[in-house]
Amino acid sequence: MKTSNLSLDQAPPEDIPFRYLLAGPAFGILAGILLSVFGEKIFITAWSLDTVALVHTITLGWLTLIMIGAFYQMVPVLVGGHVPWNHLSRINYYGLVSGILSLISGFLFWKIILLKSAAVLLLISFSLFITQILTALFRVKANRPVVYAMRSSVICLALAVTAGITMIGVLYGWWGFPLDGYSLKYIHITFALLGWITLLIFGVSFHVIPMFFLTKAFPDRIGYSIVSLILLSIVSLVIGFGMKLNGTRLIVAGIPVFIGVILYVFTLFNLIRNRQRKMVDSTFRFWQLGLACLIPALLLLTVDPFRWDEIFGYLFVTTFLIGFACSVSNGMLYKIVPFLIWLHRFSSLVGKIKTPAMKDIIADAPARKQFYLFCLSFILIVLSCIFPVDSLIRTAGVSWSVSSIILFFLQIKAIKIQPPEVPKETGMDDFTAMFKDLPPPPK
Amino acid sequence: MVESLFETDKQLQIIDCSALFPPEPMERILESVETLGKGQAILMIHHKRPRLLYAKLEERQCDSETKTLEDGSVQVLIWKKDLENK
Repeated sequence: MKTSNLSLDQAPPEDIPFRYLLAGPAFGILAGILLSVFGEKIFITAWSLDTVALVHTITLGWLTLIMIGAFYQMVPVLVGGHVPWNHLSRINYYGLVSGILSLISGFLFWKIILLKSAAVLLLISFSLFITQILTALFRVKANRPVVYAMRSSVICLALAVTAGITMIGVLYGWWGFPLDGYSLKYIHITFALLGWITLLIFGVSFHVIPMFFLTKAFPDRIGYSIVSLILLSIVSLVIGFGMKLNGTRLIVAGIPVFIGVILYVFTLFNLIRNRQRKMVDSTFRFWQLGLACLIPALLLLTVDPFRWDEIFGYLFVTTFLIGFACSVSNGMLYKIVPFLIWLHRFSSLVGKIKTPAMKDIIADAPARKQFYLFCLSFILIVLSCIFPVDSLIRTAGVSWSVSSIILFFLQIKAIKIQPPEVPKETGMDDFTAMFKDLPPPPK
Repeated sequence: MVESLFETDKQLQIIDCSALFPPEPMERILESVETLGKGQAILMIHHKRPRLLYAKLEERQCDSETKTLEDGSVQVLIWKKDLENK
């Protein structure tokens, strides 16, 4: 079988994924600053606009920007899809970043003009991204669970954005909607957390865990089942929220996602335990932390619908968003960024000069320190949910900021690495040119 | 000892990349293709199709053929096309 070389030819220029991947830690720094500035105000109620601003700094600023950068890179390279209008991906970055900043500041300062501009900017930018990626994904064969998961995840993003913008409009009386704010809020959260974030991380891990940790392949049948179970729960939960069901009925709607997550964690732990080489690096540690947080996060989610105490809602968001999603995406940055640098800048030089290894591009020792600081921040935020003491919350914010600053500068340092000049080989043309001015030899 | 799935009279240099972390497989293969001579080929053993390698091989005037086994692992035969055809 002759092989197709589509994958690398269609990869975007390196600056496209890099700008999105770098923006993630930058918003991590902002999230830590918000937490340390607002302190106990964040934990007064989950409905407070300060809390909503903080949550969107993490979900849109950190997670979504990293995930979009990963999409632009992975759709051509992993899936073989051609992303149309690649040059617009750069402009889209500015639309998304300014939209996210407008949204956060609109919530923080209660300025309707900022929320209006956020709604317009995010609607345009997300529409472009979603159109680009769905066009690419629906042009490739859906013969792998990663394609199924990616398609579902982007469709859920479209629905989450629609629900979010509808909610802003309803909140400020710009338009009416048959569902109330409560139902819309939970529908938005379901599409965003279970659909966009979970499906994408799970789907991508089916492919990258075997690649980066040298495990056996993630079984396709299990991968398809996990994605289908999560989708079933998303549909059931959305109908449930629409019908204003609560308590036990929502738990029943969530049963498929429970089975899916348990199947995912069990399969992944099993693959990792039997991996070929038992190397433990920072990416591996972040994945361990992420997987360890998934099941506790789900257990906390089962308590939340009974509304005994908002603490469970806070704990769920912390365990799921920071413990699982941020942890895994943080870990993946330590693989994706050095790999892209090596691929774009050094792979053509192999055999001509000594090229750096991945660990030379980002060393594991500082990454490990950042991991420990990330863990400390996570523990402090969990403790802040249980004991919302002002000084504790502010310390957690400072710690989270410092952890994100280290991550940000490690990425910047890596991106600054440039390949050395390769000595030009002397070709026959050069050789002839050296003698072109010499007189012809005497006869 | 790995048995080649290809019928070829070329002198094979077998490189097993299945236990290497990315990008080491690409690095090993690209280093080795620089030393390939007439009548020689590389037999790459890998746990999956090395998608990103193919374009790099083309850049270096190499041709390749891939055979996939039932478990998803592959054997890739690589030779210099400017030196000879398969």
